[in-house]
Amino acid sequence: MLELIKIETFKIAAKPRSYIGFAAVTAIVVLIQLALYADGQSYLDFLIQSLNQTFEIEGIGFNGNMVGFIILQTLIIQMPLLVALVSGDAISGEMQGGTIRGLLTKPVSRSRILWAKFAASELYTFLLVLWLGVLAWLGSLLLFGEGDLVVLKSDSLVIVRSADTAWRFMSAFVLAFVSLSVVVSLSFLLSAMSENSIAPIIITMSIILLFTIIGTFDIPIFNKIKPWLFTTHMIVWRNFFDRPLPMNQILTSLSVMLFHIAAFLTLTHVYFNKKDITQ
Amino acid sequence: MKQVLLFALLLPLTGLVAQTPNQKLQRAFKQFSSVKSFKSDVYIKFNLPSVNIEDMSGKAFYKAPVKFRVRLKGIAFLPKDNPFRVFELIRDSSQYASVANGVEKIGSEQCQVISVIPNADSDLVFAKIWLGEKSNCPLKMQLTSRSNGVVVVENTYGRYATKSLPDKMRFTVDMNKFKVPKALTADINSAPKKSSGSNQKSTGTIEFVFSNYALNATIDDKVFVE
Repeated sequence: MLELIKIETFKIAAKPRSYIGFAAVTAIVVLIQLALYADGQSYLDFLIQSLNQTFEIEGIGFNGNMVGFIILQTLIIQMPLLVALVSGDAISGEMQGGTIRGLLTKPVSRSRILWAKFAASELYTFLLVLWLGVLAWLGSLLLFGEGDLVVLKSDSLVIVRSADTAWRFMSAFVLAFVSLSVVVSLSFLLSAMSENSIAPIIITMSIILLFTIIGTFDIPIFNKIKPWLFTTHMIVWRNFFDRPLPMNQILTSLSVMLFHIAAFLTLTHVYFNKKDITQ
Repeated sequence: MKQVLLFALLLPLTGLVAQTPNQKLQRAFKQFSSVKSFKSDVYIKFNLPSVNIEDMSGKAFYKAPVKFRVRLKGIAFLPKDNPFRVFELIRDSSQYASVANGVEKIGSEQCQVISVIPNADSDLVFAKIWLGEKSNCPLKMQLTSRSNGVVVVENTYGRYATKSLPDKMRFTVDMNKFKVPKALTADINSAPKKSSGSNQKSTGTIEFVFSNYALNATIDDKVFVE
């Protein structure tokens, strides 16, 4: 199995599109860091101006934790596209290239090939999240220094003490990885169903876009649907920066996401094993 | 003859009992004026709507006539008003007009309510002081300034009541509702909180709990610099 995962990982590494994600993350993170380095304080002042009129706000200033958080919440919206670029191509790419028949003639079960491809896609996602963490959080700490984190919400703000941020960031990255795994498993299912490598990527993004739009509108009928949409739970990583920690909400969202992953993978497994591959 | 003698004896006493508001304020200032400086530990409790912040500890510094600063590690939301500024105001009775506004009870102590209006064109435009009749300490102050609006300060005294140094100081401030566009915070999918009405104002409190006062210690002016 390990050998199969290695081969699938090598296949991902050999494709130029796999590096788009890393390049995009690097470009966006560096750009935001530079912009905030130049003008971050005025951005923060603008956001908290209504509080500044009432209070003497001591010790507030841009720091690595704040920059890391801003980048994380900005980039996490784009990350699904970057992982779908790779996982959406995992099976359909081989279908389109005609290499799948050759692969399936090997003395390895379809299930093992499927799981090896999924594991390789997950490894890619993990590395992308790790790269984001190193660059966005640790890089910002180096550039801006440590300090208390101001978590801005639309109607309130939370102050997280500097000493209390490391475990929150780590947990947030783990949850972000689980969120992206939902996208990986969805695009993986679509990839198994498609014979074209672009279609699963576009459909995955369309689904995420549609669900996100539903989640944004405060309309009663949408409010009933929202708890069932995986996109509602994909931003649960933010809850790690809340006080007190909404553990029930985190566990609920985690369960919903794990359920989606399991459902998508089961469907993929069933579909791929029964698929009549003729090309 | 007896009546005249009794009247002559009681006359100075009636003068003492029926002090003018200015005299009461002067008495309160005199009590505090023995404090030339102090430093103390301070524990700050925040109860601010729309700001979720942990309580924190730090050091408080005061230097006469009116320098006051709280030093903390990390982000803190502190009242803009200097609570000791009122002593600077009442120091010179020629600098303000005072009016007695009756008597009110705060806790177990009877208080004289005195309104103070500065003569000069200063930032502080009006102060209402609830002066304890027994302790001679300001138990409550309502400070109205041009820059900070209305701030209510409630003091609780203990060991240092004889020097008008409070154990607890509770500030009540008016706050505008905090609102940032969702696009700026990436706070999508969050359910909007039901508003209790169209009122955009709410009040928050900040409580200073002082301990370990070191009176009249030497304090470097650098402490008060930003």
